[in-house]
Amino acid sequence: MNHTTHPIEHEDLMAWLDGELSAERAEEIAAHVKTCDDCRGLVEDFRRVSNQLAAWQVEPAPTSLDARVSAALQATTHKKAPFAQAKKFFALRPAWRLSAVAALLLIVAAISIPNLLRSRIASNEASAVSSLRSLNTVCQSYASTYGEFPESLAQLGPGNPPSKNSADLVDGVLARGAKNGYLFTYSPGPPSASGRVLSYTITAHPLNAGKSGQRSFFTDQSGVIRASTELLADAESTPIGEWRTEQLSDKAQLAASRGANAAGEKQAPAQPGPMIVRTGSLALVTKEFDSTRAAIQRIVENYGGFFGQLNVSGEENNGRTLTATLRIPAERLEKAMAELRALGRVKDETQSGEEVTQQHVDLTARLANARATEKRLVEVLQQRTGKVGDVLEVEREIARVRGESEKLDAEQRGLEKQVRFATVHIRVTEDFRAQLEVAPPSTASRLRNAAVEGYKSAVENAIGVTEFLLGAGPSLLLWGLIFFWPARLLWRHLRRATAA
Amino acid sequence: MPALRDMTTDEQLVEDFQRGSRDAFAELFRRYREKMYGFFRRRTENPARAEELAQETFLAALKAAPRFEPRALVRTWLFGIAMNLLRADRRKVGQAFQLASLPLDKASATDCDAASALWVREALAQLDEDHREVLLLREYEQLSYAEIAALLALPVNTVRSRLFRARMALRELLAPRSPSLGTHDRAVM
Repeated sequence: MNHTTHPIEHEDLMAWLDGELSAERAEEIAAHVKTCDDCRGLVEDFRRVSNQLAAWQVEPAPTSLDARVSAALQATTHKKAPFAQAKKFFALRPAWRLSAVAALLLIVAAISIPNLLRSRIASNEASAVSSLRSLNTVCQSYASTYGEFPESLAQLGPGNPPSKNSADLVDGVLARGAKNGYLFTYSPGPPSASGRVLSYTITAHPLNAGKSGQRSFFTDQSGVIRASTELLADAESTPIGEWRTEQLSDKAQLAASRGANAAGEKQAPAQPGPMIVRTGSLALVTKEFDSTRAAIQRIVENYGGFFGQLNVSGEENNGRTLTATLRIPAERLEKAMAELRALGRVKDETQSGEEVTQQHVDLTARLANARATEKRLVEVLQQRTGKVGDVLEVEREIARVRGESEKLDAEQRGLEKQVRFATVHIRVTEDFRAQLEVAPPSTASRLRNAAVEGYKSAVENAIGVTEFLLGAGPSLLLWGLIFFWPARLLWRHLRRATAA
Repeated sequence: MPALRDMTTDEQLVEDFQRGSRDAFAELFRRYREKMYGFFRRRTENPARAEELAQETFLAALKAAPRFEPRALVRTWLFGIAMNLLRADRRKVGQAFQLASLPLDKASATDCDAASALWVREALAQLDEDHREVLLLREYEQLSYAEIAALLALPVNTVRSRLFRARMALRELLAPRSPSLGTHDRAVM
């Protein structure tokens, strides 16, 4: 073949047949084909091949294909429908959308605002109590430096250098008497004969009762903080916790710094005669267990004692047992024991006494010694002569001696309490009589009880679920909203990846 | 309605479907069901597989339709999906390209049709695979050079030259005189 010299490429001829050429080029070729036998032959061949290829026909697509595709088509649109509806809902009714959002906000606000308020009140109250505590401590330090309590809160305020009228012990806010929604009122007690302030009271009450705080608080030089929901707390109000012991030792420091005579009045009333720690134990058998128990309680109260510990145990068809530790004022122990004995059949009784006079005298002496040492050290410190190192040394020593005297003081107090209150261990056993008519609860009442139980637990559950929803709902909703779109995107992406 | 439908372009149908018209996709399916089935039927061994792949093509299209953008022709897009599925299927089965066995048992095919079809099939089987695919897409799927080029990721010139070579080869393979089957009178027509 003479392809190379031919004016028309055979490939162009094919492209012409396929309709892939521009109109100009197509005309050119059409004209050429008319004149060129060689090209006409090739065109014929191309047409023949196409016709031959058309002989390979495939059977029509099976109808099952239609069913499967249209089922998928239905499924797809069904899946889309709710979404489209939701979109329409929000698109068409902005008023609805607005009110839905408003309702949501309202619910969240209704849940969170009271909580917020409550927590603010609680934190204000806690702050007031801690302010009172630090004021107590600060007053004691003031007293140990200047020999008396301050005359006003302002005297505790910032000052440089510290002086009697600006001791630099509290911040300016507290010194002005108001902090975190509470107003602090400091009143010095009447001056002593020597013109010193030896007592004080501080009250803290909410600036805005019910909003910035609920309770009002009271404290004095004893260190006990009392609280009241009334307008103003005073010395009669209920103490808020065990603060006293710690503060008492502070008070001991103050007393020590003022001199041993002051301490002598307050501390350790002299115990006349020998000091004896008395203990007794009593085992009783009684038929009327309940009335016996009540009687024990009454006796303890009558004699001004208290329960150290009380324990009742027992099983269904067996006698019950009560064990208790009673603390009865020592001088009335005999009478109390006599009354207790009368409560039932005595199975066992013991009494003993341990003399601790020597121990007490020893403690008192050591305590006095420690305090004297402390006093001397304080005097050394107050003169403030010597090197810084020496001053620090003295302060360390004061701290040590102070700690020791506190320990001795606590020991002495405990011993005195043991002497003042005798210990009685009592054990009461019920004289068990088997009951003949042990009537099991009737079926009706059992069913009724079950129904009541069921109702209770259903209500409990409902309340629990509601509580959870209200408590965790808003945050769940928030996180749900945050994570919904990314999760949906990811899900679609994964599905697309698996489909492809 | 059907007349109106016939005048609608494929692209318009996809757009309608995106707006929520199920009928639009059904129409698209009606237009392409034979083409798709034929595409797979000529390229796979068994009719069930061909039907399955055709179905998968439409399902994939159904899923992807909301994201279809009218930058390409729907026809090219659909054959693109079909081509991807075919490639994935071949990779999975691990078989080389094989022309479909012809359903000789089909009642619709007359003996003479069947014989010439078998002749054509054998001739195609002798072609180079690259050449054959281009030829099949041109002859049976009636795609333009540009569409074939896009589908196979080839330059248009390569498509053209491969097509030319395939046709020249077939010219020899299907020459009227060579077969002993005696049915080429039809083929010459």
